[in-house]
Amino acid sequence: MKKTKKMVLLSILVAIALVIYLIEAQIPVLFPGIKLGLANSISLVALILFGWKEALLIMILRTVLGSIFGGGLSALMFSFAGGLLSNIVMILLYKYLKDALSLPIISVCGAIFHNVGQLLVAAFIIKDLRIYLYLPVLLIAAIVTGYFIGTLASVLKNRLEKILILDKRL
Amino acid sequence: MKKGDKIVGIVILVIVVVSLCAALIYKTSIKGTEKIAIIKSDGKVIKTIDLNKVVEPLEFTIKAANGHYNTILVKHNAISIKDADCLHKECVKSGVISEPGGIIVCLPHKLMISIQGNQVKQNSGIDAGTF
Repeated sequence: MKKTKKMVLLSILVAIALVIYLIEAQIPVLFPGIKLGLANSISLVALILFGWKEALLIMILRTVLGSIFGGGLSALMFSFAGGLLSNIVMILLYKYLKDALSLPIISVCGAIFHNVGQLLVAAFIIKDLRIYLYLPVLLIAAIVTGYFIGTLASVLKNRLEKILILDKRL
Repeated sequence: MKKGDKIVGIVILVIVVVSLCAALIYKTSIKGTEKIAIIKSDGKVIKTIDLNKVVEPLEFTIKAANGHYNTILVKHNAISIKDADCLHKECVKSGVISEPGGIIVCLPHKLMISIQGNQVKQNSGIDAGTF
């Protein structure tokens, strides 16, 4: 794929992820920390269609831009820690186990580690590990949302794959 | 569904069960006769309140280092954050805690309220407030 085409595609994906993130931020949260995390589906799709560097790039850009546009600086730390851990886990799982694991399951693992990462930052901030008491609830939410996002990502992947293959002119 | 899904699924289930049990064990282990609320700001204990001894509801405001505030409401055997000027007010939405092991956290303000079931050890320099 030509460099320019790739750069444009990645930029579009970042923009999409950013909009998803900002819209989702408007949805009221039932419990501190429970979010759908729909924007992560974009990173996952990028992982499969492009590679791990692109997936990480999209995650970092979306996180940074997301906190500039809508989150505030402290939110950046949580998103970054959670997103980084989550992405690394998904990258490793996809790289070594992509034949054994379906996307929704990989996404669930990513979601779990996203929460672990966020709680780690939170524990550091309030200097108390007991914040992990929130983990069981967050885990259950992570499993549900992670599965949904993984399914979404595989649907996106199927659609985008076809578009990318058909467009031979560029 | 692929082959490895089942294994990972079971592992995840085990992790959830373990974390649930760990939380329950923790809450049982700190049960006691007392209900002492400990308020920590930025990792340091700034107030302790014996909830058992509270007769009249009491409200006070805690200022965080960055100038923001949390208003805490203390009743007999219950404590909650009534108001705060943080963005999402998750701490206010957390409601009331009344049992040992319960926690309320305001992350942007680095505030944590927890309830202990046993007497708090008196350290030099930390005041224990009882009513």
